[in-house]
Amino acid sequence: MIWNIGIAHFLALSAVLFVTGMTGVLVRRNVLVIFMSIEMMLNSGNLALIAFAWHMGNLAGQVFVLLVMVVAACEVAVGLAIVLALFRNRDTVNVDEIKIMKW
Amino acid sequence: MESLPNYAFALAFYIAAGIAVFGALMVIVSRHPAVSAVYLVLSFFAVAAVYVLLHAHFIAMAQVLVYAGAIAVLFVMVIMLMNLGPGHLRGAKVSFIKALGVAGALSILLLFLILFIGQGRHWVSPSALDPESFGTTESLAELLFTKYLLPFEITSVLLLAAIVGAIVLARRWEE
Repeated sequence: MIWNIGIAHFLALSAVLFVTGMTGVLVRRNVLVIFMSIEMMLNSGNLALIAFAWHMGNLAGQVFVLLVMVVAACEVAVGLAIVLALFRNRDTVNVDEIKIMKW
Repeated sequence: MESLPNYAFALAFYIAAGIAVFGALMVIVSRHPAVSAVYLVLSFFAVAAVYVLLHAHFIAMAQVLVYAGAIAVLFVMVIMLMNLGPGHLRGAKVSFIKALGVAGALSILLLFLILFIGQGRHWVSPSALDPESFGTTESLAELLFTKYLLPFEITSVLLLAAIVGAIVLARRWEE
């Protein structure tokens, strides 16, 4: 079990990374750290895809991971542009202070 | 990597997984986001090592290039551009470290309990993957450009939209 690495070990690692990222999104108030935690969640999803591609012998999982990486890169570019514009206007990176749209 | 003995494979996996989880925990616990970004790079490198163990050589290289080499660098550059002072970082309470350590430990404990007390008999290593053709650049490119050509072209449009969107959003509008 400990020395026979199977699909469950990789899925456990993916789950731990995902839970850590989710904890970061929910607990931290800095918008940049929240964004990094989102990237970590995407990375954990990639890991699960690659683990199943290895387990099933199907390369489609790895192709999909490539596409997910492209989507993640695009999302980071646009998201950081939004964060930068927000910082220029509000001079804060604390999500608790960005509440103009709330009632 | 069937040529490696079992314990070497397991040792490599545990070291890489440990570094990845440590980096991930330090990302959410650090006070300054630049420190978080550096730990994120560490986590990405460790996950790339896990990808190599999973016969995903091209994806491991792409992970280092795209995630650690572009996305994390973009994070660091934007953080440097924002020039965060202690006034901006006031919301990061350091007592969160204990709470997050507990959360991390609980999640690890819970997941290992769930996964290793469950049906253990189904966990067999996969049948022989041809190391010459599984996960190499050639085989991945063959799939990407024949069977999955449409998603590939759509992602190029997505990249264009993201580039234009990022430039428009981050402009300084001269009023």
